[in-house]
Amino acid sequence: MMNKILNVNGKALEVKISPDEHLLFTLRKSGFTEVKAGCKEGECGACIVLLNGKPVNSCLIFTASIDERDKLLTVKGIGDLHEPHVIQQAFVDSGAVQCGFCTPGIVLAAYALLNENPDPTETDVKKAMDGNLCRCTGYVKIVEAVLLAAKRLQNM
Amino acid sequence: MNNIKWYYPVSLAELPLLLEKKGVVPHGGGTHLTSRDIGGIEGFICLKNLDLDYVKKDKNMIEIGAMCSYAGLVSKLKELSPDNLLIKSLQNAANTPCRNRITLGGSIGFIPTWSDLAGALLALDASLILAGKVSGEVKLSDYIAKKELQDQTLVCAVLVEDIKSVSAHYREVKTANDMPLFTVTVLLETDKNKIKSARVFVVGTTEHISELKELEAYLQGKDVPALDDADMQERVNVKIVGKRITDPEYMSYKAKIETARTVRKALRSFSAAEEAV
Repeated sequence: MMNKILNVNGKALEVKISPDEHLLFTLRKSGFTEVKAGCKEGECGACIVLLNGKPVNSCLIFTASIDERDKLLTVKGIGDLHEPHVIQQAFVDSGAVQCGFCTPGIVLAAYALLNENPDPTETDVKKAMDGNLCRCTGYVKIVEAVLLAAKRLQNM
Repeated sequence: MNNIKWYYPVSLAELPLLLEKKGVVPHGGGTHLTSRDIGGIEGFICLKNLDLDYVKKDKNMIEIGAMCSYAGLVSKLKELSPDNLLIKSLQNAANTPCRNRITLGGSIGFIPTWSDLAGALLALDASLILAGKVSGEVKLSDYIAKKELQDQTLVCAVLVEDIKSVSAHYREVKTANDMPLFTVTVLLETDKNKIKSARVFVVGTTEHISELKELEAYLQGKDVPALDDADMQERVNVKIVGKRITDPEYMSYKAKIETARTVRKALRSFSAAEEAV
């Protein structure tokens, strides 16, 4: 086993990991169950976290390759039920959440996009979501939610 | 409990000893390693502390560090070399979160049959800077052909010339972010309406990577208005790898059509640039 210190949502997290452990598993066993285990092969995006501001699939990362200099952000790090982020609220207002399993990954993909490009087109949004699968919504309301969030963020 | 060891070198000087160790492999972004059976692996060399995540341009040479991700490379090249073929080939590879982790070095080390990278780098006649058992600069084409260049060596950087050219990249996929069944990469040097030289690669063939020398010879010196699609298709003789979910015969036929189309697409980008001037 290896001892590691990770930086998750701005806080230090001490973990004991096996050398071949994936970040997805480390985060979930440490209580970050908002990081969802979907396909576990980098296709669905349910396990997306932001690593130094970029969306990555935590199922395709060995925890041993991450250290405390790396800033990890899960969806709870941007807002929660009591204090939702503008993007999370836009998803609720647009009816972009159905079963909700894919939502944490999609919200983080949107968060990364809007940090980089505050005024995205519909095409930009679709491109940024190319690593996220949703089996409920048909994506229309998801795209609407991201565009709504962009508009609200611009007016803040 | 597994006994995989992790090594965290901070300088290239540490690499030869580590690369000599049995069952020890370099780890860049890890996208390939995490998704496969790692039963035979005894250790990983984590490359993140080696300062290999960079892109720099000196005169007309572009040097890309092996730890540069696909997304990072595309973003940096858009500033340094906006028409670069590597932008066209990598910007749609895999999907956004994967492009943020797949590194150039890892892709070259494994060169999977579905690679979006190999055709572009070969068309650009890329060289590699290696460290380990073999060190120094070697041509990518030699690295692919010679196993002894791959064993116990690490790809540290990629060198490509920023040549004035027109290019296009085609991915045969079932859905947008799927792994391609094959890719076609075309790089043409043109002078007004004449093709001065051509490099055309298909990746995903039974030979893994095929350079279409017959087509290249046909294109070289050709006046663009004299190009004929049927003539081009006739010179595309590749067999696409048989896959469980597709028909290799149909895919091989499709490769002919798509190659001719990709040549046309490259030339359209040339016409558009001319019009803009």
